[in-house]
This record gives sequence, structure tokens and C-alpha cells, in this order.
Amino acid sequence: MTGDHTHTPDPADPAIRVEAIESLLVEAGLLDSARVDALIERYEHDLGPLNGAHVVARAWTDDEYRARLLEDGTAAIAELGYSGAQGEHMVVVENSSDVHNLVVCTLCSCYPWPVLGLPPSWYKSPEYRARAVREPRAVLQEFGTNIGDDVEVRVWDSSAEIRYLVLPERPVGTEDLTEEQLVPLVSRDSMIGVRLAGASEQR
Amino acid sequence: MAGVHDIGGKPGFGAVPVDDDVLFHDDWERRAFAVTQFAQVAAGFNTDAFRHGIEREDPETYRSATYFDKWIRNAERMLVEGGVLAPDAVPAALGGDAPAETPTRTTDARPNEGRGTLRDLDAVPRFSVGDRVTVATEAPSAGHTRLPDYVAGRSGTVALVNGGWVFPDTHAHGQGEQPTWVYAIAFNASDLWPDDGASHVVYVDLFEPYLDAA
Repeated sequence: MTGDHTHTPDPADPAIRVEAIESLLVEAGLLDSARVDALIERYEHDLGPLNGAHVVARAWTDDEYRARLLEDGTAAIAELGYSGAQGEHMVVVENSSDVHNLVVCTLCSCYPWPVLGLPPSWYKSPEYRARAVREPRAVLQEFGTNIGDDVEVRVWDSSAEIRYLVLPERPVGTEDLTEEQLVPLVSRDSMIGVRLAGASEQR
Repeated sequence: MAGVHDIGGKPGFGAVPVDDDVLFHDDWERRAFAVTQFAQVAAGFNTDAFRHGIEREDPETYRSATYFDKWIRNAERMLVEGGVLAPDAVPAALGGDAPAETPTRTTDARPNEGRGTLRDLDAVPRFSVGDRVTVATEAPSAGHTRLPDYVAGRSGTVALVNGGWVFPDTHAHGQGEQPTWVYAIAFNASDLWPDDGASHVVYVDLFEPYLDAA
């Protein structure tokens, strides 16, 4: 590559364009690359589904907290220290033996960042966005999740700025576990609603 | 006419890529995520104007480009329309040249005011939980909207009164906040897709100007 000054970068390559735009903003004094690094670090590592798992495990072990969480999700989640962009107004929807909830954003990729971090790629896929509202049971089966015909499926399309978190059912046989022991059973997917908490495949 | 991004309930989509489970596939996607957010601030775009930028992607490109490719394309679009970069700044930089054009702000977009978009409203909500409502057959105006096509013209029931919010349809276009009530409306799948034989319920957050009493 050295000395190849006639080589023009492929403008169709997004990696090249990201680099060019970052450089232009840095040159213009509008951006410091250390701030880019810090933002990535925050969203990739500081925020994540462990936050949501703490909320769910608390709700499973503390009935008064659970009631507050379902009454005013934003305030109850903030009690545990989680708030901020894309979590300004949280609504928590509860699964039961009669109801299964599932969350999607059909128009873009809205997701509750303070409690779940950034969404996985499949959540942003056109397939999930298009099909979750129309054939949720078929979509759930693709995640290995079978919901009985007698259970009402509720799909929440976050088309405004309200963000939804599913409170999954506490797995059977966990009655003796503490809040701390329950946290690892609360998968990210169980809080989106595509899998059950404590399912054999955990994500 | 539904935009290219408005795909809820549309046919022809295959299996969900369940195993595509990463936040970022490559380091450039990480940087695209962060750089695009800084570009939005530098360009003075609010979140609604940001989304409208993505929605204005060439339809063919919208369908074929990866998620973060669409973001970085939007970063460039916002910076150019916001008058931060000349229209030819990025192509020129890739060729090792200085831009020949001059940066010119061509957008009415306004930045977020740093206090989110939730608002206290003096007006009382027009609808209450349990009311039957019908969604407008199309959005109030061409341009950005959060009225998904699959509920246009359909009737549902108010499930939640979800607070007062800045109205995306005007806010995206520099036409003011015009905050209004948002409701979670419950639609029976059998009303949305009568031929499917499905029995689930779909909840959609809709702004009051989209709704009328059924």
C-alpha cells in the first residue's frame, strides 16, 4: 500500500466514510476522538441488560417494588439508579400464565438503553420489525419459544418515546433463591419478550 | 403512501436472523454509532429530524445498506444540510482534495433543547382509557411521522394515556414542538389483518392528532 498515492478510497465502503467524517469533524474542532471512544465505552460496556436484570430480580423478590414498578416504571427503575436517554418514560409490562408480552419498534430501532443497553442486530433487522406485530407466535418460535394457545400475546410497538420493558415470569423452582441469585436467570431476551427467563438458551 | 422504513406487518420478510446477536459487527460500526451522534449535535438536528434523515435514504439503499451504514450516511446528510460540511466535503476528503463547495445550512431542523421531549400539558387528554378511537388514514402532512401504515384507518381501544410529548411530525421539520398527548392504543390483530386468523393484540403509541373518536 505504501506509495500508492493514486489509490482512491472506495466511497461505497462505510468504514472509509466513517473515518473521513470523523477526521473532518476533528479538523473543524467540532469533535475530539477521545469523546468518541468514551461514548462507545459507555454504550457498549457501562450500560447493558444487567441493569434490567437487577430491576426484574428486585420485582420478583419484593412485592411492594413490583407494584411500584408496574404503576410507574420510570420512577421505580430510577430508584435503582437507572435513567437517561431512551429511558425517559418507561412502562413495564408483566408476563403471567395468561399473558405474554413482546416488544418491537417497527419504524426504526427504539430500545430502552438505560436498562438493556444497545439493541442486538436482530432486533434492528427488517425481518423482526416487519413480522413481530403480525405473526408474533411464529417469530417467537424462531427463538425456540412456544407460547400456549390459551396465552394472550401482546405486542408493544414503541412508535413514540415511551420505552417498554417486559417483566418476565419468575422461573418455577426458584422460590428459595435470593435476589442476587436470580439476576443471572434474567436474560436480555426475556426482557424483550422473545424468550422466557431461565430458558436453556440464555442471551 | 408508507415510507420505505414503515415495514410493520408488511409481507415478504423471511426468518429473523436470531444468531446475528452482536451490538457491533466491526470497529467501524462502533465509530459510526458515536460519530453520528456527535454529527447530529454539530448539525443541530433533533431526534425526530435525525430519524427523518434516515427515512429519506434512497429506498434502494435503505433496503440494501447495513444498519450502521445508514447511520453514517445520515451523519453526512445532517452535516451537509446543517451547513457544517460542504456538500462535496466527504467525497473530496476521500480523494485527498479540499472541497470546492461552501457549507450552507439548508434545513429547518432545530436541536433538542436539552430537556428531552416529555412535556407537561395544560390541555386535558381528549381520550380516556377504554375509549374506542380510529386512526387517521394518513399522516397529518407529508414528511416525518410516527403513524405506522399498518394501523392507518384502523380502530382500537385506548389502553394507556402515556404522557405529553413533542409532536414528531412538526418537530422534525422546524415547525415547533406542538406537544400533545400520546396514547397506547390496543388493536386486535383480527382487525388489522382479518384474513390471518391471528388472535394477538398489538399496542401502538399514537399521538393525539392521529386519532378521532370511533
